Amino acid sequence: MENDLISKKDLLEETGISYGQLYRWKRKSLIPEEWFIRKSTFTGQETFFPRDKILARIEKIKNLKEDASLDELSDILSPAPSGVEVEKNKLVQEKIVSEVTMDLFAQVLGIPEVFDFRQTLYAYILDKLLASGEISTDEGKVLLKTLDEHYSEFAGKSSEILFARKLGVSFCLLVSGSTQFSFDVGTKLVSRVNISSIIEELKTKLSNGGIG
Amino acid sequence: MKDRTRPNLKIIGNNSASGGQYSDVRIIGDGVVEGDVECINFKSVGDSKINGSVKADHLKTVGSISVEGSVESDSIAITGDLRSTGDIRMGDLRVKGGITTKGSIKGDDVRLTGRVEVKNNCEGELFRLNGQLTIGGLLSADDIDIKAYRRSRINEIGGDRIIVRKGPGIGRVIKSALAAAGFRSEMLEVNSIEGDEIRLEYTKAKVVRGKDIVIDGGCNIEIVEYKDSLRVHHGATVKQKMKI
Repeated sequence: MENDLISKKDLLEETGISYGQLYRWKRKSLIPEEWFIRKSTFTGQETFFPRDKILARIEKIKNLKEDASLDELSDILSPAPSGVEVEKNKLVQEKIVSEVTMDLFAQVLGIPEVFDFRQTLYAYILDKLLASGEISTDEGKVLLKTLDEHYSEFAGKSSEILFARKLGVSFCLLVSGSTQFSFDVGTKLVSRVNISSIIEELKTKLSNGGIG
Repeated sequence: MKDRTRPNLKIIGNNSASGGQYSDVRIIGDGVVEGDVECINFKSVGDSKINGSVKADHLKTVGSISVEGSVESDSIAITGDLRSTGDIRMGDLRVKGGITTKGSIKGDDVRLTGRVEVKNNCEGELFRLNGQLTIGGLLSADDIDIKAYRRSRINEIGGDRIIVRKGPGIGRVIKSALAAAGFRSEMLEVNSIEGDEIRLEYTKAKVVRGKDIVIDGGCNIEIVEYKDSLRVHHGATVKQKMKI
């Protein structure tokens, strides 16, 4: 565990950023609150970060900030939904969502001509899970329904979606970030997706595709 | 919120009205609004109480305003007292008098004079605080300039440039008498201060970390960790200094 964490002091040293930058990025939600881990040390309270995540994130911010303002960055990196609207055809063209996923989406939630960010997100998550082969199309429908009915309660917060099966019966769970849980013996966790990182991925894809 | 077709709300005297969407809200006297209010301009003179949240482009109060909920506005100007049970989000915030919130404050340009009591975090680009301060969370901004009055307490301060000055003190005779009686001279007590450029006066802190640090008179610091430079005034106590 200790090796996976990096202290704030070491982080600044290793990345060459200043306290001012770190606090600014935190304020702009470029670095999620839950990455700031407080621990008691012999010099009193110190803050630690998950090493790999924070180093990757800072590298990303440094690269992106050349051509985007902090507010634009925060739109990309924060888990809050953006105001993007995408045409249905464009999603398929840009290979963000496959044709098959689109059909399934249409069966469950109908097919809007223009997708708002949330709908795009649902389709994208569905596409990802279907492509990974972890869930079946029927389970995909359950997933979409769950997202459609309950994701609004989690919007803007970090959350995860889980798929579990027991004796051939599957079910879908939407949980808020960093919750600890365990299942009974017979249950198998099939798939676990962090929605915040999916949002980040999707926002990056959208802006690369000239949409965001 | 530019819809000018919405009605105006005016409360005069000891009266109440229900919340809703309005163009302009004006309260003169002892006004009570029941429910959430959304409007373009919110102005109140006297004592107003909102039993709900307030969302306005501009909010201006002379007197006191108490909000049972959150406050959101591009600009907030208070001469008197602002109390809220929820978060306060704004562009600019000007308070002369007092501000108390059980939530957090988040904005760009914040200038507060008087008594400041915030349960959680205070975040912004620029913070000018002048008065008696109690902040339970993190005070974070690019540029922080504090003039702290006696018995100020902030959990953590973080930012680019951080300056703490001493507020108006007490007379020298009383001061030496108090010092003899064991009273401390610090005005502000902080757990940790982290910034690039830090200058402190009359501050008691457990840890101060930064690049260029100046510890002026009246400070009592347990640990200072600095990167480039550290200057400690002879009237200050620093238990442990570390160059990193």
